Amino acid sequence: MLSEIRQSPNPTQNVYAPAYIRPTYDGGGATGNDTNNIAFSLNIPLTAAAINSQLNLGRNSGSNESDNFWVVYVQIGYQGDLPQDIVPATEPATAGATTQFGSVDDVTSSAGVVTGGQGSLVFIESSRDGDLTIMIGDDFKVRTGPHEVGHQFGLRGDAPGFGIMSQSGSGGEPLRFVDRHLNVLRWRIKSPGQP
Amino acid sequence: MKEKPRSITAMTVLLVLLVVSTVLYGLAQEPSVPHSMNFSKLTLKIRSTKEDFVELEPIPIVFNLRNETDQTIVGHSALELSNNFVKLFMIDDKGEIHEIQNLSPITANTAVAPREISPGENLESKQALAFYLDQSFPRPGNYRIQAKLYDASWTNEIKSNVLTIRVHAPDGQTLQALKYIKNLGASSYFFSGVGFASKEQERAALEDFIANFGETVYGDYATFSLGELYFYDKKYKKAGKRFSLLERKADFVFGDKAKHYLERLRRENTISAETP
Repeated sequence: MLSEIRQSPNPTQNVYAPAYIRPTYDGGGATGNDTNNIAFSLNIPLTAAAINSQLNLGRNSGSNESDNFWVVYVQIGYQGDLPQDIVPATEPATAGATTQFGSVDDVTSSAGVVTGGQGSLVFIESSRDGDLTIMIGDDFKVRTGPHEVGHQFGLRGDAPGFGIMSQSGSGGEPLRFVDRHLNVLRWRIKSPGQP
Repeated sequence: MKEKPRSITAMTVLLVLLVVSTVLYGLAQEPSVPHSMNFSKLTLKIRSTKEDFVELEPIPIVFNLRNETDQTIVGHSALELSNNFVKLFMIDDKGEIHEIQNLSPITANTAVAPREISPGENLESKQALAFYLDQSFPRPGNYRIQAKLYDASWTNEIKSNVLTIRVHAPDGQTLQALKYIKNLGASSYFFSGVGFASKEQERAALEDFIANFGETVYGDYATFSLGELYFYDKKYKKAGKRFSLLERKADFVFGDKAKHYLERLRRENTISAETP
C-alpha cells in the first residue's frame, strides 16, 4: 500500500523525493497516534460526512501540524461504497478516497496552492479484488496510497496524462509525479489540509 | 469384423453433430455478444429538477446513461462525480468549452469493470453541485452545461445534451440567507460537507442556518447535510428527525437518499443504539 512512499530520498523508493519531500512514519509527531483498533466497517459510503467521520476515528495528530511539520493521514479500510466494491464483478472498484478542499494541476506561486485534504482512506479489499477482477496487475495496491496522499496535497489529476495522479486502469500511467504536479508540491508552505 | 466400420461411422456422425451444434450455438449466441467497441453509441442525458436557481443554491444534476440501440453494449456504472469518469463543462457565450473544476469535495481512485447494458436499460445517478459554486456560477445569468462520460480505458467518450440553467440574485429572506453564508466565508463550501474547521463548527452553523433560513431554497440542503452529519456521528434520533422532513419531498434531489437513510434506521433499529 505504501511501497512507493518509503522513508527515503531515493525516487525509486519514494515518489515524493523529486519534490524534496521525504516521509517519516512517526504517527504525526507521536507514535502513540498510530492506531490499530478502529472498529471494522465493511463499507464506507462515498459521502463527505461518512469519510470524514471515519477518518476522525483515528486521526489524532491534527494539533501537531504546522508550516514546519507537515502531517498526512492514511487509514487503511476494507471496502469503499457498497455500489463500488466490485461485488458483483460488474461494479466499479473504488480503492481509495480523499475529501479535498480544492485541487489544482498548476500554480505559479505558493498563493495558488490549495488547502487540500486532512486524510485518505485506502481500501485494502477493494484494491485486491479490483486488481484481480479488472486485471490491472497490482496497480490499485501500489498506486492508491501515494495517489490519495497527492490529493491531500491538493493535486487534481484523475485523468490520463497525470502519471501517478491518473486513476488506476487508465492505461499504464507511470508511477511518478508529472512536472506540473511536482511544481505544485514544491510551492506548498502549509501542511496538507491546513488553510 | 463388421463392428469396426460401424463404430467408425458412429463416431463420425457424432463428430459431425458436435461440429454442427457448436456452429449453430455460436450463431444463436451472436446477437447477444456485447459490443464493447460501441461505448460511444450509449446515450448520456443530463437534466436538473428545475431551471431557475439563486446564487449559491446547490444545482441538482441527474445523469442518465441509456442504451437506445438494439444490441447489448459494454459500458460501466461509475456515474458519480467523485469517480471522475464524468466531467462537466461550461459552454460560454462564444461557444468555447471550459471544464468545471472542483465538482466534488470527494475524489476517489476508481477503476471500472465492464458492465453489459442491455437494449433499453437505464443507469441513473442523482447528484448536486454544491462545491465552489461561487467560482463555477459566480454571478446571476444563464449557464450552459454539458457532461462527458469516459469509458473504462479513457479512450472513448460520450457527450450529453446541453443543460441550460438560470442563476438569479436572491431577495428578501433568501438574500439574508445568502449574506449569512458569505459572512461566514463559506461561499465555496457551505453545503458540501467540507471546509469547516471542525464538525462541531459545521453542525452549529447548519443548526443556526436552519433555524433562521430553513424555509428558503437553501433549507433542504442544510437539513440533509445536518442529517448526514448526525447519522455518521451515530446521533440517529437527530438524524432521523432531519431525514423525515425530506423523505416525501419528491422535488428534492436527495429525497430518495433521505428515505434510504430512514429505512436503514428503522431496519437496523439503530435509534435505540444511539450514542448519548
